[in-house]
Amino acid sequence: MRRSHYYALGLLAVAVILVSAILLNPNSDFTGSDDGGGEVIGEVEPEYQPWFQNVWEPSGELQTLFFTLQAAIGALIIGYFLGSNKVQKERREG
Amino acid sequence: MHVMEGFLPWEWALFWTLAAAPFVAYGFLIIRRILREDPNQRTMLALSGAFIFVMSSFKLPSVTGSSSHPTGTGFSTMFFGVGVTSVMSLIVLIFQALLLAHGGFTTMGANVFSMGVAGPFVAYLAFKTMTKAGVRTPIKVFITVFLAGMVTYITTAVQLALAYGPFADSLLSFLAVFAVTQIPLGIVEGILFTIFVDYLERARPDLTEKAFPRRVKDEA
Repeated sequence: MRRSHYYALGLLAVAVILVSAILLNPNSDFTGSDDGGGEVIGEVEPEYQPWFQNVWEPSGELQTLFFTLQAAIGALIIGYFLGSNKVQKERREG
Repeated sequence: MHVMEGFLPWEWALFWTLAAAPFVAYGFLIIRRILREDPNQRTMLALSGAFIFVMSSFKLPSVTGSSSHPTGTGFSTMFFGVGVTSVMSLIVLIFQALLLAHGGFTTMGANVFSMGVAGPFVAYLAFKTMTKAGVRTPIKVFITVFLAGMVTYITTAVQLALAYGPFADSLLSFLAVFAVTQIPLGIVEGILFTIFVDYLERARPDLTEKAFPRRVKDEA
């Protein structure tokens, strides 16, 4: 197998895992295992009260925006690196 | 893997903060040295941080129903070790605590310890051991990345179980919530980084050779 085939196979596996995760949980509300942790605390020690609240909690929409922003910052840096790599390679060869 | 704001008794919050602090301080020193001395490494530093940003924003539903996200710390761990990774984690965790109400400032120490210290520490040991044993690069990368994520979640479970006893019972409950949802994500993360490191090794061997020295054995 060529290298690109391995890559394709790997990405296919990633896609399968992600899609099946979504398909298996049609009702997932994306609340996160963090909240799951809080629920377990509620079961183990029902009288526990958090002693500090988040300084500021954004609304759902804003939260999505900031999550996207976070990914975008990272993706921008990675994309810049890949692009500059390609340009350098073309300069060397051409 | 975050412990939510206010969800650790203050004694434990203080304990984990003190435990994480030396690693972060050490990481700052290393980053300062890298920025001064080695522009090539600067690129890798930026990439390491970028991957942690992207990966930890990937909130995906996992098979057991709750959703969760990978940590992305494996890459930084392989190239820079524990100190630098703890600084990167601190930056992302501040971003998330401030803007996303995800994690929090009272639990910052505990979260930096699990994501930036414990996970990378175990992963780094495994990475070095596998390098010595001559394990091939793709397998080595996959296992290192997988461990960095898994150990982070296991550590979070331990931290919560220590605070909310009895230890054994609650450890199991917390592990069930955190670690198990994390396995598929660990595999996803492992595959993605394996592909990226493979690409990097061929496209920019100058960047990878410090962590993956070229040897005749690897060429075969």
